[in-house]
Amino acid sequence: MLQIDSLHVSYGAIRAVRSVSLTVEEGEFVVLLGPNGAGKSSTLAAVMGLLKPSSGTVAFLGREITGQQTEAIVRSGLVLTPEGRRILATLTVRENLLLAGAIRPDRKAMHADLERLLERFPVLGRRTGSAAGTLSGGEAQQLAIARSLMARPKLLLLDEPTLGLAPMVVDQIFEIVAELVAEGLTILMVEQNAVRAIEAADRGYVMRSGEIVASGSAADLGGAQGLVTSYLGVNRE
Amino acid sequence: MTSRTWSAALRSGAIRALLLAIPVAVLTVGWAAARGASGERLAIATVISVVLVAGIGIFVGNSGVESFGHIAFAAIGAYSVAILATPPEIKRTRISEAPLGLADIRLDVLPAALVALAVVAIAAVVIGFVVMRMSGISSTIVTLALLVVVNGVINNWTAVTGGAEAFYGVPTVVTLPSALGVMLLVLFVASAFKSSPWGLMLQASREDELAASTMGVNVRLLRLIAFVISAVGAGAGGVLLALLLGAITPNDFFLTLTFITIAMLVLGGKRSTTGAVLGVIVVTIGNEIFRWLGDGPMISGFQLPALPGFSTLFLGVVIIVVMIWRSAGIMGDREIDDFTKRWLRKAQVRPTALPGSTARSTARLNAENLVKHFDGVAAVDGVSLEVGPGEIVGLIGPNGAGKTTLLNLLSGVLQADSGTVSINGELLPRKLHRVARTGLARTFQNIRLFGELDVSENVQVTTIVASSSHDHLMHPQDLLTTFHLESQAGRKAGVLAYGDQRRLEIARAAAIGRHFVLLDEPVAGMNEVESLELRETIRELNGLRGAGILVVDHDLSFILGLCQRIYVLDAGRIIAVGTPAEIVSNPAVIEAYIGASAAQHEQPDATRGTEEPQPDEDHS
Repeated sequence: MLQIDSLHVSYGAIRAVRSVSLTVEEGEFVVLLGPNGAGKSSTLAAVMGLLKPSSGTVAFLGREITGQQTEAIVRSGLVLTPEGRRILATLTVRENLLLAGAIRPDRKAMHADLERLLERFPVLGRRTGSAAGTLSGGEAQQLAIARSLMARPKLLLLDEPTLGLAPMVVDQIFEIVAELVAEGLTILMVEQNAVRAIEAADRGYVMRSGEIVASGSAADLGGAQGLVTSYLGVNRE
Repeated sequence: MTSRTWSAALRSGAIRALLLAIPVAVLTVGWAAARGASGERLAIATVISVVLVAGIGIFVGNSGVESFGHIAFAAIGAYSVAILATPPEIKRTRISEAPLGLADIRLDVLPAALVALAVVAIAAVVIGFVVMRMSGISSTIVTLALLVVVNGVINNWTAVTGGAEAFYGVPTVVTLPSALGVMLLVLFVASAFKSSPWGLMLQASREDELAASTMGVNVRLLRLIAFVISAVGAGAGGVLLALLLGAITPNDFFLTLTFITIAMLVLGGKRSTTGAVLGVIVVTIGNEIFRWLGDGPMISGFQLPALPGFSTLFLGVVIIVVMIWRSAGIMGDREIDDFTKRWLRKAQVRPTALPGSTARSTARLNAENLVKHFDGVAAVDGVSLEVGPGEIVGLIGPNGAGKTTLLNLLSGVLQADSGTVSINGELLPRKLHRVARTGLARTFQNIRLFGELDVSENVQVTTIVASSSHDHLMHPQDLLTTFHLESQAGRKAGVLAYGDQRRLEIARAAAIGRHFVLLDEPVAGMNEVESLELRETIRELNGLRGAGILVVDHDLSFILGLCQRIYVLDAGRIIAVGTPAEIVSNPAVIEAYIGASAAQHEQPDATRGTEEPQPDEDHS
């Protein structure tokens, strides 16, 4: 479904992503792990057209999307829930969701989706009229995910969905992700709770210093403990 | 690594001023020699532009507050010197009604100029007090209002200024050498200020005002100082201009001059003194070329059509192009000596650290019954807590429980509605920049570094403050070594990897946090191994001088493995306090925060925390 081939991304002299190739098949739940500064978020940003790769290609549903406008990529069904949630704090919960649906031509179905999402995320349903900035961290993350779902993604990219959340809320977010996977949504997730993420996912890739250094299932990666000891140390160059 | 000491600043200021003045002198003297009297006039005007632009840059470049009002100080300088130095015979025909016998005063040019600069300085202090209370766009608008007000006063206070018509008869005594002399002085002041400890602290506030204040930087005072120095620089430009032109009108010092000087500053790079000079040269030369083209010259037999307004068009287009190409101006942050360093070997100055006492901190932090409401909702509702000498204390709780608000109260960023915070029984000072000087520092959830300053400078901001407030000083270089940042010393803080940014923020706080360091979610966004590494860093910080640590985080393993005592906050109240073992088995805490499933995994003595990370193999 998603095919990244020899992707390179540079910030000036710093080569953040070096020759990264990865694939995500339809229906899969894949995680992208690695220490801070490994290039995970840069990879997602390059896929979404938010960063311009210096070389390499990204193909989605068999069609090359490298260099396309982010907006066009979202319309084609590839949606990012960004790190730090990035909800629109002064707009209401409902407005946040409406805005995300605004790119869809099917207004009726879009409004139906909106109501369904408000039912599915009861914390949002109870607070449709509240400014999004007044939501707690966990609620805001649910809004960010719901907002992505408004665009009817075929593939959802989740960038650190549990960042800064209390342990109980982290549980909730992992549950929501598991439900989405069970419903058949394809997901590529970057997550710092590496052990938990690899146990929940079908497969994982490990990045370090801009490169993919390992990939496979939890067992392939030497189990959770092996993953921690081999790959996740602090990334310093 | 550049050291920010006064002696180093004076020396590098002198070198930079000379390096900049020499090419300007060569260009202007050459132009004057080639073009005669009209050439000399343009040459002097160019030199005066450098005085104005470098003067404005002292404030704008270091503080990051844009100013449209500095030309008002040029106007005040120009009119003051005009009124004082013009011969009474001429003055009586224009301003015979002037109060205080101003019409009869006859001062020599030099004393008149000095008095004029004193008038500018006084005006700048008064106006500065207003500007310093604001930040961002509101202070910019105040400076613009200042320009309009001063212009209005000069236009209408006919008895003193002669009103809108020209004030003539000012002695035209400015020569190219004397203008160059003033320019050299202003370039020296601008360069030295930028490299000085004051300059560094002001630049820190430009990058992040809140972080600078919590590190003990008195932002308002420094802004005021820079504003006054900068106003006097612009005033000197105005004085020179009056003494060049001989006849001045209020509108000589209004929007046109404001626009041109700001264009020069922005084009060259407002944070760079070299940029100020370069901006003046580029705009002046470009202006002359396009004026010549616009007049419809003959070029190898072809008569070009006359295009009035061509040079103004040029200025506009060049600004747009440069801003697209390089938004920080041509020079950005760089200076001419950055390029000549290779030839002029710069002596490395290592400031000697004061022999710090090795005594460990004995301070105790107490919060009593703190209450803070936002819009009627109690974010912190009667919290008391204590951090003993050298103790590492954790603070956990659900999102929205009030942890960050509590940390803001403890660090003086917010004032409590009721309740007290005290260190060894002394109340925390109300002024934010004084809090750090008591030896209490903090970090921020969303990392607030001084992004455009390098790693070493980030730490120096706090070592400079620390050196003025307590006896225990750590050398910046030693701090960087302690926190494994020595290899990054010259890099801009904003481009560091995330983990290094976190460590730098802690190092910066450690420099001034002699007694306490408060950490707000230091391992957010870090994986298991990285958080273990940071735990060791925090232990080192604690071991260094026995500073007490209060740490907020959601990473339970991290908190349980690090802290001796943990407070649990829920809905603004402390619902539990105890050792890690007591906390994980406390039913109320499991109910409110941990959740039953996670609680099973978090036995404090059997966590992954016992396994230490291997030393990093690719640590280069």
